[in-house]
Amino acid sequence: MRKTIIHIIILSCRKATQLIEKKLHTRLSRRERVQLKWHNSICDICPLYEKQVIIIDKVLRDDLAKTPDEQVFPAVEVEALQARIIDSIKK
Amino acid sequence: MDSLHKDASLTIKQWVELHTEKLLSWAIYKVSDRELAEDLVQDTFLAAVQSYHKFKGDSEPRTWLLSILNNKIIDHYRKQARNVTISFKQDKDPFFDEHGEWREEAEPQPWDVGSPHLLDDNEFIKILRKCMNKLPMPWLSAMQLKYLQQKDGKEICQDLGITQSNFWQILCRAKLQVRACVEKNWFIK
Repeated sequence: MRKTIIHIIILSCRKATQLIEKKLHTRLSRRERVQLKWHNSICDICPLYEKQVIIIDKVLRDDLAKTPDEQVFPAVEVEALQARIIDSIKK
Repeated sequence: MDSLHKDASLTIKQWVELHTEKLLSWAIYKVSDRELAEDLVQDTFLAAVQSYHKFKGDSEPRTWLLSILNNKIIDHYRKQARNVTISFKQDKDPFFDEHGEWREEAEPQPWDVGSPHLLDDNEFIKILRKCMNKLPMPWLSAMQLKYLQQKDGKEICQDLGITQSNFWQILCRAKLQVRACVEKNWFIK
């Protein structure tokens, strides 16, 4: 019962996680910011969730900025692909 | 025009010799699928022939080819993510109960992020990528698009033909699943 009231006034955890995701990518509206703040102040799980997805988000952003280690492929495979490409360019 | 075209295919043939391996390695990293990666590399060179007249000598050929390849990768994910939806019944939601509360078994556990090098840890990134690849293809694609493109959500939603709130929901679902998978494979050993 208590939970239900909280959700009517504030947010469910399901909703809160959606706002947490949105917050990673864009600015929340004033109303959303207040809702999330209130929710996080009475919920112990969602703040933990938020901390962890921030880590994941950061790793993903960093990972994109960096060049992957160059893989080395067997020469025959590279040559086969090169031949296929050159063939398709001729057409 | 014809001689220009000839010129282009000659140059690009040299580029094929020089850059195929690097492009392939990049494409595999981004799409995690060898066959698809090869097709994307081939498409990249074909597009390079078509738009050779746009190539300006002031950038490196490899940089130019990589930017074409990146667009091909984005196109691929865009096709996969178009009209993406979330489909499950609320009572089957693995993370939240019918009130929208965390299900006990799905509650995040504290992570021991003791190492300050976690973000540089290759093993962690590997697990993260493995977890992402377990996502349903349209969700993975939506997530990749968000992180590959330096675009805001609004533009991506227009490309995909979905509403913004739908888009955040999908990214959130994808994140919930990836987070749980990372926790299981990295932190709980």
